[in-house]
Amino acid sequence: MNYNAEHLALGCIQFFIIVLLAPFFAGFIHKLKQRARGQKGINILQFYINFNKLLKKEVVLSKDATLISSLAPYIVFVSYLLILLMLPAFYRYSLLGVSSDVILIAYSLALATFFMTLYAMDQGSAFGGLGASREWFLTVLSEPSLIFIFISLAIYTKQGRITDIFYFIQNGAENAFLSGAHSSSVSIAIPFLLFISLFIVSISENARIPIDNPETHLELTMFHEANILEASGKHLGIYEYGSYLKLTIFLTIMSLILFPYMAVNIYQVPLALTTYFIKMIILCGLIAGVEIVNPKMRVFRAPNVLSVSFILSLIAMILSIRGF
Amino acid sequence: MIMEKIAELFIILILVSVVLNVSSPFLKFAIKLYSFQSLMLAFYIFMGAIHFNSINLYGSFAITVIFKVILIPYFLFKTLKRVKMDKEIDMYIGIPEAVVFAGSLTLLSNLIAQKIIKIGLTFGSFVFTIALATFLIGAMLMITRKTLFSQIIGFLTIDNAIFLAGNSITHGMPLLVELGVLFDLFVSILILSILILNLRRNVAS
Repeated sequence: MNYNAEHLALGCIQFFIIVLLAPFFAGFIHKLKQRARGQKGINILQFYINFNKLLKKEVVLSKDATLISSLAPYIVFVSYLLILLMLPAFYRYSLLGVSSDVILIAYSLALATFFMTLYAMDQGSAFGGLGASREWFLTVLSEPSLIFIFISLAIYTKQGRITDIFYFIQNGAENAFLSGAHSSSVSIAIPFLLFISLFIVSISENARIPIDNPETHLELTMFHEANILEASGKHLGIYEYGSYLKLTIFLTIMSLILFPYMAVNIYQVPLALTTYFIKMIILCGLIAGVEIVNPKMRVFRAPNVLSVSFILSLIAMILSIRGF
Repeated sequence: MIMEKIAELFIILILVSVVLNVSSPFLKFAIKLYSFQSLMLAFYIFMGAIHFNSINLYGSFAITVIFKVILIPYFLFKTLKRVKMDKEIDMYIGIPEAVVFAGSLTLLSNLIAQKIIKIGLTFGSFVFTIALATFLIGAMLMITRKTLFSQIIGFLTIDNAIFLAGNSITHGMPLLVELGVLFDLFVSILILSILILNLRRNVAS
């Protein structure tokens, strides 16, 4: 399709809004959790302040560190930015919408994890190797369900790009529920299964509480934190911003599965943006609720939960192949 | 149209609750899941009752709610409290393996259901697939777990699956038949709970 100036401008605005909102969502979850525990809670903009502070500090690298250590934070950050360029959060024509293949998104996430673990092992500290092995333990378990989720979305809608997939779902839902037309191409069961499955995957990938605790630096509970333990200054800031971006990516995909509403022209953008924001706030509340209610799980019980997510995505794929 | 989709959601929730049942070793959670599963079955029957407007199905809905959602879980909870078990530890295969096995059973039942539809029997293929999968997973639950309590849960799951398949093939069984089946089930649960208590008292450590 041809991109004109309006598409480019709105795509840029969408990209910058999501990138700028990412620390806000992470801070909102944190604040909700602290309020529920009866604490006063951090400033909701605290993560922006932290990032700003860390950017001014200098980077300290170990003397054993190679070129990988100075490159890895940027590769991780850029691969998350690349995914955000593809996602149609509230505007249908995202900037990289033409090349937003679902497999590419899954592998960009894996690339970021790969370089983060390389960074962990490169500096030669004992915690790095531990963190890397734990991170891959979880990633290997959640990777198949992520791939199955994307593939079953692709089969369900018979589209390859993520923008087209969600536009198809939105159109189908509008046809079925608003105008009441006979439409057999819409299913409630498949998005529901995919949503539960993706929710479990995103809890594990973003190091949230039943699997991992993002707040502590206790060696028993560190999954994600052990990888970036050696990072300092600018590198640490970039890694933390990267983790907020990752959370936002997962929440955005979930919000699109739950209730896809994307603007196709400039007049629908305000409503779509508001809807997007409300959906994200609800999902943040959901994640904070899960974190408050559940205690941290033993590491070796994580495969139980992740295998459920795998099987749910498998069932969704079976249903979407047979055409419900 | 939308009614059909919502009914699909209820059926899917039955399968999801069975998979969760396989993945969790906690017995209290298993009973709660059974109750939830029966409620979803009851809602499915209720949708059918509205659709076909049949008095049999309304009656079936009512007795399902009374027996399966309230009475059987209540007795199971009571027995569980008496025997003071909270976790199933004896299993022949581990939980992740069992869950993946449950997924392959779902695949298998999908294949079988498609073959059966090709033969020309006409009934809801979606419901039949899920019912078959639930049946097989319930049987797997009975085989892989060692204690009597989990086996009862597996047995009840199989019963739910047969109910679901029955409701998908026919427009509701006669009320008398259903009442008889449910009463049999109820009595068997009573007998089994007494059996568990006696076993505990006489044999167990």
